[in-house]
Amino acid sequence: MNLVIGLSLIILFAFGVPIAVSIMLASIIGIEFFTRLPLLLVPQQMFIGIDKFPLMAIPFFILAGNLMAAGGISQRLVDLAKSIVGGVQGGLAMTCVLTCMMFAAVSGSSVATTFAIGAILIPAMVRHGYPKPLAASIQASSAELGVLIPPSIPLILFGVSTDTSIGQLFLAGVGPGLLIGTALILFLYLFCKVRGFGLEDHKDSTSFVISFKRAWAALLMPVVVIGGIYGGVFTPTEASAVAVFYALLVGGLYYRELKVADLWPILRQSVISTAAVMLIIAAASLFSFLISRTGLPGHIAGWVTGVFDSPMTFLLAVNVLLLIVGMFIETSAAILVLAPILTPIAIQFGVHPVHFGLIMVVNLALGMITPPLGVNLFAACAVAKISIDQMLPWLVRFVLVVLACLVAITYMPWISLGLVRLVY
Amino acid sequence: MVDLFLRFERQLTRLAMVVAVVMLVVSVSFSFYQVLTRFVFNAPSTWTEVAARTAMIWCVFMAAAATFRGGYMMAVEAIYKVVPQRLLLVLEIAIVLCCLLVLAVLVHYGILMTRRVANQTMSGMNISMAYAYAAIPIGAGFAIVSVIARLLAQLTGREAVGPDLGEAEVEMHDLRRAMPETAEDVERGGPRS
Repeated sequence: MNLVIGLSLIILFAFGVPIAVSIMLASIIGIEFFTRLPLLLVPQQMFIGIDKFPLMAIPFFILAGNLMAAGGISQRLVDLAKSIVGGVQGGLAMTCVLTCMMFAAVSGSSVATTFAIGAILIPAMVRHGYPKPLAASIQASSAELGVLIPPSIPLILFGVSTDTSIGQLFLAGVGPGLLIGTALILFLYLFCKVRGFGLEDHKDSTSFVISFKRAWAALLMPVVVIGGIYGGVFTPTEASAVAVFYALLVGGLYYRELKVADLWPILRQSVISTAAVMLIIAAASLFSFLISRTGLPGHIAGWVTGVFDSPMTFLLAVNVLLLIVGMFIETSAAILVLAPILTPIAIQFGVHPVHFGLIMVVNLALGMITPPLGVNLFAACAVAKISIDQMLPWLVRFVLVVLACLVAITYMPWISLGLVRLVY
Repeated sequence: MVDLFLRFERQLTRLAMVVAVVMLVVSVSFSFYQVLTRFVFNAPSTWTEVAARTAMIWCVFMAAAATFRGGYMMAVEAIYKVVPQRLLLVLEIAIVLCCLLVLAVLVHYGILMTRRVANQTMSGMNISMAYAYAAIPIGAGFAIVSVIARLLAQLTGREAVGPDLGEAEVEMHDLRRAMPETAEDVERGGPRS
């Protein structure tokens, strides 16, 4: 039965059937032809799969991020970042990375980050003489920080599907996020020096004090969210609901850029993004109910522990597997299907589940900027109006930088766990 | 005939969308209210969490119709690059059949499941679980109409066949409306300083 389910899943994926429908159909085939279970399980397990309070942080953070983006924070964050790193050669490219890091702290999605920041910075970089494909590559690579720096939708998914603390995962995301952000900034600094890009970047730098005064209200949101979670004031889900109202307040009353007429498109877009993710979650919980009944995860665990004799080799194999999976399959689907199988094995090898969650998410985030299926690439191409092929030669460098960070994050657990241990 | 159906479907999908949006707002408000009751009024409410979860389930399944209709369901789209143009329609029909099969299962067994849980009540509330479970068959019913409409529109040449940008497109599309200034900037090739 497992073979048939697996094969039909791969075939359905390959033929372009929506991921949620593919997973449901494969499960239905499994239930109908290989078990005596009733198909009533389908609606039942899907219902149970999304009837979880922690999961609701996902739609709320999507909504909060969209409200923030429409509420005029993008330009303010760009100005602030420019005032910090914009003063040197290549400053605009570095501004892009820093803005994405700050934007990531109010948004949980890297696609939203690409659109909000890319719409401002890609044209700006092009005007400063960066080739368009390079500008798009810088934007796409920086935006993946969106899923590492809390709040992060993939980390919530990992937490829910493996029963790991979302609060701890959020904290653990800070270290890797800072590492990758810093590595990209350093790389861009050297790269622009060597290649002579961005010679005029320092000219339109703004004053730090003025831009901070304009941006502080937006940056207070992550402080409220993260502070609230760790102070025990509210759960991650409640924090996300607070974030929604905070974004309304800041965008509508303080910045006054969010108009009542904007609300319908923002809500509509948030609802559609929500449905696209949550239907996959519902389908995946049906799927994992089915395969755990057959004992497949146990078999895989037995096989894996037999083949790999040390955590080092196991983590290497996991990285290779996830890199390949990440190239083809969308992040949330990959986490929902693979995390419940791989995490117990990782724990057997002595890997901390929070650390393992970060390894998975960094890997899959890398998948967002690797073709053929990289959502950030599509987004950056849409903003820059170029094709993915043009980006590839530039993109390779950034992929290598993030890959180096991934190795560090995998084999130095303290990058992720240091902050967690400090707080808990 | 097709036009009439498509117009009917547009209203139907819009109705489902309005319900979904309202449910999202309700869900957020309940969760926010929950924080308020605990810290401001110092009397934690018992029903908000269940109510917020139920509203979210309605939101997700009612939004399914618009998500299918606009082609925003995430899929692996590599095949569209390989398949020749004239076979695209065949592929599209096969995909639609898969969707319809799954949605039909959700409608039929969703109704059975809803009947089955009619006697159970939600924890902390004296309301039947059926009101939550009913979201599945009803949402899937709306989605069936929209999936058929999408295929009809493509078969009759009203809409283009082929890969969508998926999530990327909806965000771009809506950001344009939400943030006309930045969208114009992209067009002009420079930001306003």
